[in-house]
Amino acid sequence: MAGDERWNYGNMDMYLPQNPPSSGAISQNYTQQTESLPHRTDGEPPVTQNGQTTHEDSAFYLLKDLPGIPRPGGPHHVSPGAQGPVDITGSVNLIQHHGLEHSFHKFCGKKVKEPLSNFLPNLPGFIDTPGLQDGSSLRSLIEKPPIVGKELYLLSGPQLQGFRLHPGPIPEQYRLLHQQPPAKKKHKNKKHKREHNGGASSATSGEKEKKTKKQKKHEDSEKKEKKKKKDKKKKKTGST
Amino acid sequence: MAEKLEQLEQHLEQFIENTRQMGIIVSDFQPQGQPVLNQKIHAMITGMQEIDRCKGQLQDVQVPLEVFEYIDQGRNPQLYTKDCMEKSLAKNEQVKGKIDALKKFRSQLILELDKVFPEEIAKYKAAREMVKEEHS
Repeated sequence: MAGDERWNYGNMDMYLPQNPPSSGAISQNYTQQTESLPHRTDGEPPVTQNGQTTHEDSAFYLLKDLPGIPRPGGPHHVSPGAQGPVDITGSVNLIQHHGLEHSFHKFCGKKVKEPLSNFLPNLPGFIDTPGLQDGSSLRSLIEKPPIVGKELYLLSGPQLQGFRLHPGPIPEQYRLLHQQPPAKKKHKNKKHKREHNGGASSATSGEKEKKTKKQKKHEDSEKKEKKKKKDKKKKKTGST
Repeated sequence: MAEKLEQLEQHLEQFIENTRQMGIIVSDFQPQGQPVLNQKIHAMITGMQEIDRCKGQLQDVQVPLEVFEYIDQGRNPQLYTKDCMEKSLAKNEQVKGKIDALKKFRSQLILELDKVFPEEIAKYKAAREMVKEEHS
């Protein structure tokens, strides 16, 4: 058998006495050797006095949770891998398991637009630019949190005097802050325009088609008349 | 939870709109606009007070930090959700492939071991059945 090659039968020589006695003496020595083996409780394979393992009890030494094999930490100790079968593993569709199919189709089925302004269409100003450019990033808010915890009070009359402004426009460098991005034209209008233009073009093309058909008919009729005239002339010339 | 978030969203939109209107008034200020400006400043402070009151109701809301990177880049935060879904699906498929491969290996290994060590495998199978009964 192929498995026999794995076993080191050279180890069995230690059970054989140097002077060959009768067969009974050999079996007695063998049993004495096995009974004197220390019984290990740490899950390691049983070791002989010579430091070599036997295969008599070591078949399942790796399986600590099987009956008949003492557990290393005592009878109530549960090894990490011996908690029994786990129901939820990666072999299950976890999105389906957690009821996220609708969310998955919503985000992954349809095309999600890239710019931030598509998520927040009602916000004024330019919001698609990176926050690092103008110092309005959320990361900077986390790294340097503002002063919080103070009470907010309405301003009194004298305090509002500080907000009295001079009439006139603000400097040009601050006017850009109030510029709005160009309003996105509604696609419906474009569609309507395209349909209208398409309808008009289709109408003109139809008219053109009609004209060409009419022209063709007229041309055909002219050709027929010419042929008839030619035939008549031939007949006249032929008769004379 | 959704109602509280909607309420906060409304307060924030009103606050932003108020700020925008203040910006328009200030961009070309006229003296007759001073009372309106004062009114807008009051509205701004009351808006901040309302937003501050909302924070107590939303203490347990957790936001992943990675979303902030998307927002700071001017990208739609729904793309983060989409990327998470796609990554989890890919990982799920990867793990399922590994589990299937290991199951096949296990069955093949037991099959071959049964040919070489029939007695030991019979003992092993009996012991596994006992363990299954214990756990069930």
